[in-house]
Amino acid sequence: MNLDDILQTFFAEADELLNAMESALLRMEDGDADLETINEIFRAAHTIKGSAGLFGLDEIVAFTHIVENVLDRARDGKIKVESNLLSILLPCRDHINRLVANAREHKKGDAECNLEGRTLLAQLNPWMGSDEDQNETSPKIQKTTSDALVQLDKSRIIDTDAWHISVRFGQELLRNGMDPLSILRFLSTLGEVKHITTIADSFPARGEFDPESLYLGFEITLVSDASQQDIEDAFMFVADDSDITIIPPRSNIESFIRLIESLPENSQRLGDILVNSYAITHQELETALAAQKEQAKSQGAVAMLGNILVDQEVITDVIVDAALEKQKKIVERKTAATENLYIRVDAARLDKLINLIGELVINRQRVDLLANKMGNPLLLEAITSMGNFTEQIRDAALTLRMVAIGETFQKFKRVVRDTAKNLNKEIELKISGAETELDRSMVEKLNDPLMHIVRNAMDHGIESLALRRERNKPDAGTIQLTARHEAGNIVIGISDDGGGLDVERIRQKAIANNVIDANEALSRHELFQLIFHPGLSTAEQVTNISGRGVGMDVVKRNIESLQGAIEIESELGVGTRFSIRLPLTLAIIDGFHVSTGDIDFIVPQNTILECVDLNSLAHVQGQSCVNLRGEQVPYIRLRDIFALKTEVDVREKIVVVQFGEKRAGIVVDSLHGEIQTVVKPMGPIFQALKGIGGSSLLGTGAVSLILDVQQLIGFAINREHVRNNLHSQKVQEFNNESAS
Amino acid sequence: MELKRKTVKGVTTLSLSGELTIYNVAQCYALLFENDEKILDHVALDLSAVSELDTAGVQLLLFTKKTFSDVHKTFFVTKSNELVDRIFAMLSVAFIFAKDSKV
Repeated sequence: MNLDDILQTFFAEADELLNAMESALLRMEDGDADLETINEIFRAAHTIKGSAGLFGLDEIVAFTHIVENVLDRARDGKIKVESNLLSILLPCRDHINRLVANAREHKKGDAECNLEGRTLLAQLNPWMGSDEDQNETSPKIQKTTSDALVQLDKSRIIDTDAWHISVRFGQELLRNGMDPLSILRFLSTLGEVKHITTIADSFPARGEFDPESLYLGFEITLVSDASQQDIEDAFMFVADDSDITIIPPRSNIESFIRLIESLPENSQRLGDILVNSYAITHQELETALAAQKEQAKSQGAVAMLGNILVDQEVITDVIVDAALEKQKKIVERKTAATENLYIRVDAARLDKLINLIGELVINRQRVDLLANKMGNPLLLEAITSMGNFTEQIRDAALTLRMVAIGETFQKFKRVVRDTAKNLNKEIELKISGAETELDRSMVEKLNDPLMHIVRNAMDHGIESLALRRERNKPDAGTIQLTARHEAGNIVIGISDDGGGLDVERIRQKAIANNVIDANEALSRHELFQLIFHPGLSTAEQVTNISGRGVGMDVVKRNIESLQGAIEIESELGVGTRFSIRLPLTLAIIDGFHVSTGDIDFIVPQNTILECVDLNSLAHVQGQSCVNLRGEQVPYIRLRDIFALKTEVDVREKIVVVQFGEKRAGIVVDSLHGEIQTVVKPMGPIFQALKGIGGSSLLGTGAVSLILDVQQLIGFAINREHVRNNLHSQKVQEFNNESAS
Repeated sequence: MELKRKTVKGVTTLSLSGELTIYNVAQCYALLFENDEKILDHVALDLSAVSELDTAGVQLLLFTKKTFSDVHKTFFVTKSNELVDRIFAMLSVAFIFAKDSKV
């Protein structure tokens, strides 16, 4: 690997870290005051600085170093991260991003960029530590050590190499045949159980005591090399109805205070138990608990206990630092461990693998076919089991390309925050289904359409504050991004609680732009679909947020190029919801092999509802429409639309397909069965061809065409529609004639 | 499980023998508190003949101890055996059942 490759890795890593940093900063802005969040931001800055230093990217190092210093002070509790600091840290993060981007393009920052950096650093100034307060700690230590009131036995700290486990079992445990003693005994096989304190504080009154119910809890000190998982596993069978807290070795005092607060028993007594095994003394604990309560009362926030202890001068900085240092090491080790769980792979290599697996799938079909011809039962059996594995390999390979959509959604947090500020609106972004996965290549292509819709929703959807109050809506508008899987598809929803679409205005505009005829009768749904028509923007004012030339028609085209569909529901004054439906992947599909004449076609399996003999269904008079259990389903013949020469006397079959809410039938000559297909995109010459989405090789080596079900359904429905219109026109003409 | 009572000079000695587990704690509980009048000022417990002891058993003893303490009476273990000692030590409850325990 040459240096350039490593540099690329740095850029990729920096991107990820900056994203993590951004989302952590946004979380803090939403009121997340967790120490771990500050740590996360700090670590991101720290890692970027460190790696940038390796490559001699001095501009990045110089700027990030100062940001890191401020974050370090925040982490130590010397300064508080409040909204005024956050509003500088976010642009600082953007500036680092800009510096990284500059480095990627091998260019030095221009004057404007330098100015931006200097301005930001100047703004950070109030939070930067002066030299005096860095020296401030030393007199404190002296003072504390000379203070006879608190004598800390330092040797006891070393002994906190132990796990602390706190258990409150469910009352029914004994009756269910479990004996906590056996769990405690099992723990001793994981390491050395230093101490178990039995908590017998929850006994009920005499009359209510049931000897078969369990009222005991245990505080356990365990010295062990076992992993958290191993320890958790010991409680596997009782975890459901018990409260179990496991505190890893060298955790800070804060975790213990949190534990004490969460447990039902007397804090004092629990504190005593902890005092038995840990560094804190009774007095320290008591002072800290009291101070924490006091502070929580006055500030509504729980301060880091370590700081309180320092402030109270009951514990030396040295000890807190030592503890923090140890903690930091653990945290770093942990992150290192999680990083090892991922391997960065070149996307091109992955694509190659998927292609090869595609070929494997095709070849397997050929082998299948030959084996069937030979009819050797042993061979057939072997091939069936091989087929099983090929399928599993295919599925596993496809999941390699799958990524959670959450990362894409996360990006919108910042977009919404900034845009809302620009627009002077209060907008909240809610995200659900972030863990839903889809093909990586789709995620990338989804970005622009989503961005466009979200921007539209913020700009035109969410009303101004005054109007919202008038409509009795909450001050803050809500935009919701959702994702879920549905029958081989992913459905992404973007909804807002804004003004909704004005059907009448869309209609007027469409008439004005000659998109529709003035007396054309369109359903509500069809009118909504008009906003995807090129050159139809309903916003009367084109702002710089939306309406920058990329229209909704481009959004629709983008989605359709991914074999997807977009739908709108909207109610005036209530809100609008866009639903985007996409296939999970475009690479390999489960298909259904059909043919007309000697041409083979593949229908994507997930669109098929059923296959029926065409003649067994009742036809609607004069139309290409069948009556399927009371529902009228329009159909098309592949023979007709692709102008194929075939014999007419075959017993035709109809494959009923569905896409979104729409159904249609595809009439073919014969059905051959399920088949796994590797989708090969059509060559550029055929790209404009309607009704065909791609091609694929069959096991026989023959080419088969993959039907574009969405287009075919649209085609069938349109044709029936036109025919109906013609029909009603004729009826009308006839009526007119007879009237005259 | 068997519970024997013997009172000498105001001290009642209860001798428990056999199993003290979830299978008989209810029975044992009833025997221990059979009759409130029988709870005298000082109760000594002889556990030397206990052959099996589980969490339910330990819990019953802890509850009895607490009930006695609540009304300022003493309840302590006078004799035990290796099995009982081991479990008491593991759960750090031995001190609760010591003769001069005020817990």
